[in-house]
Amino acid sequence: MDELKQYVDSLFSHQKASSETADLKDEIYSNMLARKNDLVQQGFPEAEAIKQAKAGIVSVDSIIGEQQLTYVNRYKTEKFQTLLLAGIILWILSIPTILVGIKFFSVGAFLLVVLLGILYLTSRKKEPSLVAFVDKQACKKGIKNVWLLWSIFFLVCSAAVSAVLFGSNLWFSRPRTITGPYQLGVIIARYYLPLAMVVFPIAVSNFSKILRDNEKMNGNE
Amino acid sequence: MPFENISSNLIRGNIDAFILKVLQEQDRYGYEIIKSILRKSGNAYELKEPSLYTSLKRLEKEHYIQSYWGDESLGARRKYYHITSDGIEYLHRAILQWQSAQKIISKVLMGGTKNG
Repeated sequence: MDELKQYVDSLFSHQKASSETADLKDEIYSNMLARKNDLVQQGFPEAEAIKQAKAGIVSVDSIIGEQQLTYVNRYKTEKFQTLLLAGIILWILSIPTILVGIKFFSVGAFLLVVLLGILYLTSRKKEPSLVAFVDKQACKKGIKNVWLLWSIFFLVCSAAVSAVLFGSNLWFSRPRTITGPYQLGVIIARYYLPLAMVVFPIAVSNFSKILRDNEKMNGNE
Repeated sequence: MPFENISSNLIRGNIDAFILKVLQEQDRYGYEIIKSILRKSGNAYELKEPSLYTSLKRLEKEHYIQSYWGDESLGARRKYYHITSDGIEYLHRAILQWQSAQKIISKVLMGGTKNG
């Protein structure tokens, strides 16, 4: 079988088949073949011509997604800014948990704020006029994944907390007693922590809007 | 920023216009477009294939170009592109914009030290 044809097939092996991808596949193959034939005509040996034609495209991911010309550094800076804000909110939300003696959450949130702050400030220093293509669909997919991750995290955490807290009643027939407001506070805090983390998926949800805002319009400058 | 970066950034903003320019002469398929731009640039600029396909996709979405399948040659379907009247208009605008930008940049960067 034709080596170029095989190569193009392999480029598309992890892509969902559709009429759009089938057309793109034909187009890429015909252009690669044209390049190879052109190189052979220029006197290159067949193997070298095939190698060079293949090198023209090493992945089709960036072609299939919906690409947007973007001010990448501004985009990155605004993303960090949003995450920084979410981190600060998380830190504020963590303060009540100190009252019931849970310190690690507040300390962790504070360290996260410091880290995001540093990332934000270094990103701000980078060349703001730099442009590159960013995949819009990949951005949306990323947002969905963050929500999924948080949902799983929340479910696992609350299931684990519930099992530890109330399982003692089921497994050891030793009922869990809530003796006072402090005890209740500790129990609530354990559910509250994973719930408070929701600030991150909410923040990340803004990424597609941030991406739109940082589009470089064609020839408008 | 290194020089290479600036120059590639400057060029990147004009890829769409490059493609429209070579399509204005005649309908062409992908590799032909790359070759024509390379020739026109005096062998100084070769458009990369991924950039070609994303540009073509964008231009077609904006109705600046139309595509059609040509005859099967050597066992491969070739996709040809044709510039539309909107595309020609866009190209003219891009040329005017480039001329005025070039004037400004030259004036500032290469003008005398005391001028007006």
